[in-house]
Amino acid sequence: MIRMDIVGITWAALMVVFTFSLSLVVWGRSGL
Amino acid sequence: MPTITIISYFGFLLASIIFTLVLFISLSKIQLI
Repeated sequence: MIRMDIVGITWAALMVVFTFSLSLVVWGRSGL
Repeated sequence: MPTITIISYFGFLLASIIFTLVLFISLSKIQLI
């Protein structure tokens, strides 16, 4: 089912936005 | 069902990191940053 795949991919995209935003803050501040 | 989410997660993460690296290295190469 393509529709179920879209839900999974959307969750993955949301998690990446969260993770990557934390990464950019750590990068910008040069540390945790 | 969870498999495609996990694979997509790491795929998107890898794509974002590569895109950011390429962007910043390119901007640095043309001395914009």
